[in-house]
Amino acid sequence: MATTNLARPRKAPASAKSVRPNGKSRFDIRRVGLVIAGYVLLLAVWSFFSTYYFNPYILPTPLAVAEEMWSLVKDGTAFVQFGASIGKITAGFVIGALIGAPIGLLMGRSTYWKNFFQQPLLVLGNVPGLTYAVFALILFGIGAVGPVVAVTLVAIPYVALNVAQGVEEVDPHLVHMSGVYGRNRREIAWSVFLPSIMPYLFAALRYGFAMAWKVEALTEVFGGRSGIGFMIRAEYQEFSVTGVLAWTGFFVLFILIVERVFLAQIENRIFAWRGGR
Amino acid sequence: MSTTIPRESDTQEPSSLKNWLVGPTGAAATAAVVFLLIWQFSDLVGDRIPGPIATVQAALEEVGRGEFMLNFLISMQRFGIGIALAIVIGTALGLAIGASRFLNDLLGDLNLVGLAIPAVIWALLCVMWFGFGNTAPILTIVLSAVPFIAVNVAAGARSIPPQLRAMSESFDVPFRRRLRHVMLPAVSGYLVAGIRFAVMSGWNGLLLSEWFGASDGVGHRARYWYDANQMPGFIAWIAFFILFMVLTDRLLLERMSRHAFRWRTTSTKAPRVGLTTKAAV
Repeated sequence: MATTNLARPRKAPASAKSVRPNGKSRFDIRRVGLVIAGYVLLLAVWSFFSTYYFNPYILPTPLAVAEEMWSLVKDGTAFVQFGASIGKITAGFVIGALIGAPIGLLMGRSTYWKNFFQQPLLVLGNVPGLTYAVFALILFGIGAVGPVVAVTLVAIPYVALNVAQGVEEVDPHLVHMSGVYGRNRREIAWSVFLPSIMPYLFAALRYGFAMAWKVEALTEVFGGRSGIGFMIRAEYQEFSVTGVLAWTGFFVLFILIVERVFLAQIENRIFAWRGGR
Repeated sequence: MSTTIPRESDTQEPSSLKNWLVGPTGAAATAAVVFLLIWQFSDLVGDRIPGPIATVQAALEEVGRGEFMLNFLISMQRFGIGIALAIVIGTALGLAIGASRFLNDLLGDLNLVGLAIPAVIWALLCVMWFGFGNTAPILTIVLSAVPFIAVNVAAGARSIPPQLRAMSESFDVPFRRRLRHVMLPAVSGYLVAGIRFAVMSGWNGLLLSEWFGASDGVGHRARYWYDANQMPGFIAWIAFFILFMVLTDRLLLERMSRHAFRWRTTSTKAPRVGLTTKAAV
């Protein structure tokens, strides 16, 4: 049953309300105000606990963390380390997509290969991140190769399973008709297959990225020489809660920017042909 | 690729065997054999990774020594408590976010942030806050699992038909009955999907937390072998981890998912469960 459970991303109930603001709610002041109020609430609870219950060594105030973040931004460390991590993720994801997409195509077109790859890929996708991190450390030692390989391994199942799903959903009538009208294979691939795979590829990018990001940080915690995971580890070894929280703050900021700005933009552009559905 | 070798060697056999090999079970079995061959091969080429035989031996020794059961029980206890807490908190949070626009705007974003924070950060923070013991692993599980459950339950709560909600409002159905007969049935399938991700994420969190800050449990035991530079023992534990994940998914969650959706007609699909469905942000 697990084999048939991969539901289509665009009809998925859970993502229905995700990012795309439908015009009028975009500048909804009340909504924005509440979102900000949510963050303020979090910070308020946090400062309350840090000032009244714990000493600053255990739970520093938000202000102390913000100062730490600011000093990291000012001397450029934050940008350097983020750049290092993003570079590794991008490299790993591209390699993973290059390996995963052909597997997905194969799976979508042939039942045998689907049966062949399905279980291994599902297992690969369920492997705890710790496994990747330690394996990367054992095999590649400390350095940049380990995180890249870990990201690749995370990306492959996402890309492959989603592409396979997309290929299966291609309307066979359209393919047939294109054949009847004498379109060649390249044109069919470009104009029929690609648009239909695109939403699935996008889902893979989106959820795979979130996952890859976590595993990459984890791998750096274990055996990195640069990147945010490495910095978190360094702060942890100095027992600096402020430092760990500061890097967590960067992490959160980055994810929010990617989610709200970057992915939303790409999504709008790629799915423009659907007419704002 | 060596994938075709077992197939071609069987061409002279009766066609039923050939059919089996080309069929779904045969394909999966071939994949498993190929995987074992690659594993064995990487053992022969490099000396970093022990082969399947050495790993199975180490695993059996670990079981025979009683370390497996002991550490597994300790970890299962933490895991059970953590996941149970996460389900309760996550469901409450998800229902609140899904049912009320106000709370959705107020807390939805924070939940998104929670989804984004990797388990390793929670693990390290909890170890620094609570030291060695049971609190750090359990809290790590809760923190890394709650957002997944909340986001899925919220999606389920939003899928409740508004007419149904309006009706129960105009007929003054008490909140408890509304919860029991309207909200929970609508949410149960999504909850199971959320639990699936929560189990995955929580298990990872538990392993990390025990790796960094525990003196017992499966994560600690894996680290023990790793620090001793005894790779067969370490890989054996990794195999246990993966096996546990796969078995939980197949035996428990799969059934829960079917049970939760038993009221649905066959034409409607279950909500997104599986890899394409990650986290439903």
